[in-house]
Amino acid sequence: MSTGSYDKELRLAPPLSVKVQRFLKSSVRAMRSNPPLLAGVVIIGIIFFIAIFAHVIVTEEYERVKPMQGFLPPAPDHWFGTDRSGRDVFDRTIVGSRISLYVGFTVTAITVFIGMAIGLVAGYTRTLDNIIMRFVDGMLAFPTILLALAIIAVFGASLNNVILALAVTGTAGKVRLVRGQVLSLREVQFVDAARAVGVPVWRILFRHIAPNTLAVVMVQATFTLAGTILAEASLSYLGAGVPEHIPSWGNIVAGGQGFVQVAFWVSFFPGLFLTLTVLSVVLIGDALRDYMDPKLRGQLY
Amino acid sequence: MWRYIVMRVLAAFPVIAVVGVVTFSLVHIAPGDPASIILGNDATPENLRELRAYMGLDKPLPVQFAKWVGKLLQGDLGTSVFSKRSIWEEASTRIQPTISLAIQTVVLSSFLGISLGVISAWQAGRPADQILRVFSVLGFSIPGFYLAFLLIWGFAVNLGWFGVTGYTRIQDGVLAHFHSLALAVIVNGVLGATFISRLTRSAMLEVLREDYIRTARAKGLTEPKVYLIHAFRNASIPIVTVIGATIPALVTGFVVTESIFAIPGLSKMLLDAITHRDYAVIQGMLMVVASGFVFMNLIVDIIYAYIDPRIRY
Repeated sequence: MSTGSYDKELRLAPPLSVKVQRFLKSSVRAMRSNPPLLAGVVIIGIIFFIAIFAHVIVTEEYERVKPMQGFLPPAPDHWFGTDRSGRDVFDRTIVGSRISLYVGFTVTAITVFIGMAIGLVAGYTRTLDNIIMRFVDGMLAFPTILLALAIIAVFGASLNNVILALAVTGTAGKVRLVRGQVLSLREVQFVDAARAVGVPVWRILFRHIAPNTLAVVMVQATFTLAGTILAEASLSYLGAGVPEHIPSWGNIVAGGQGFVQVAFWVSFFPGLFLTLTVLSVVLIGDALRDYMDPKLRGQLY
Repeated sequence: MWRYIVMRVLAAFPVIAVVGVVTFSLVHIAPGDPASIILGNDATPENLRELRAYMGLDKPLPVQFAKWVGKLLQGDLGTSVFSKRSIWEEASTRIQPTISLAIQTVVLSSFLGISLGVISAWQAGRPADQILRVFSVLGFSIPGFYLAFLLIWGFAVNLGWFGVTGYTRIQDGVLAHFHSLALAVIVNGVLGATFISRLTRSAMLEVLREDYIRTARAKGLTEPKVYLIHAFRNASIPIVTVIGATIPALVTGFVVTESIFAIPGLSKMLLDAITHRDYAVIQGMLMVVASGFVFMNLIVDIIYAYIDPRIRY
């Protein structure tokens, strides 16, 4: 049928290579006109590089304790000096980048995924909406760090429990965000149209509503990433996060805190890496939000 | 107005109920029963049974929950398993530093945040604004414990202006009290100010585009009057909300700073309870803090409705 082929032609998308090219081109253009975004991308790129190639950069056994070499100041041998037990701070800082990125991205992915699923249901079904949202309101009444601390106190401090705690505390906010989006999208004409031609509910949700919430969710997700990296570091700093034998920026800073008088470098460098990483994510998030919605320029969240 | 207040207060009840259920179940879904954790590995079965009976852990969960809620309603938060003192009693000795820290932080961050935000909006696009914006992004990215570390390194260790740790009660000397909290207040104040200044800036810029600002200028008002009376008053609604909203965000800062500067406040009490796994204290404090936030949001909503009559209807 001729209309069939016409239909097919209309749906023909450009091949992937062209899409990638276009995306790269527009990204380069965006970065050229926006120095903070460029800075953010460069920093996070370096951190990623460090995290991926940590085992190549860190040649030595980074956990080996050398009591005779404690608190050596930064020098060509030990760029960031050594800590109390003679461990190289540079090595531990490099390895620590993995924890930050791993926890940050895992938690963000979990909260976005679950938050979207629950938010879509809450926004689209009136009966469940009330129940879900009361629960969400209750969860949001807890300050993130306290609830996370309590969860970890109950289940014990480990890498997986840190992820669990931060995922539990982070999901409620996503549910509220997605649900708000769904409520307004539900009234939009193309959803009415889809409903009128008999598209099933699940298809309306996943094909028509969900993709349209993505822009707002992605912007929020970058800030979640920044917030999660900070929260993980704070938990590890307080001794309620990643255990000491796994280097994380938070627990390395904590380890050096008591020795600020004799060896500032133990805390200074990992903290600097942490701050720069969060900064780069925030800068990218800012640029992303301005791009998605120029009206919001300059606002936080 | 009253109708609005009553509606808002009623809406807070289900939230508090959820907070209660979450708090209670969190502690009771814990793997390993609190009694065995407290007594450790070498506990005899008799000891365990005794402690379980003492803590009420031998009763079914709904009964335990009902008992707990009943006590809460009478204002009894429970008893610390370790100090054997009531949690209220323990908390009341700890409340002064936290309240003092909170008030000073809110004052400092509002003052800093609002003034820097107004300056930023006034100088929008010029170098002063650019510099302030860099600082606000930095302030948002730097973890509280790292800022605290840097301040300790700079002001306490190198310059010697402050003691690294230590807390002086207000009754032992007002100046010494402020001095002992100064670094903690700066850490929290600066972190709070970054939120507030960013929001103040964007709220001001929004308002400055309005017609009535042009009218105010046209009738010959001086710039300070335009900014402070016409623009700022209208921009203050979102600012009030954000000041309310920074308080939960500041809790992280409080927990971290009370721990770093060894301030014997409520967060330190909770942190100690967490290291001891003193479930009664964790439960009681979480309940109080979360209800406190619900209450605070209520107050913010009411202030909001008072400032902007449109919200009431």
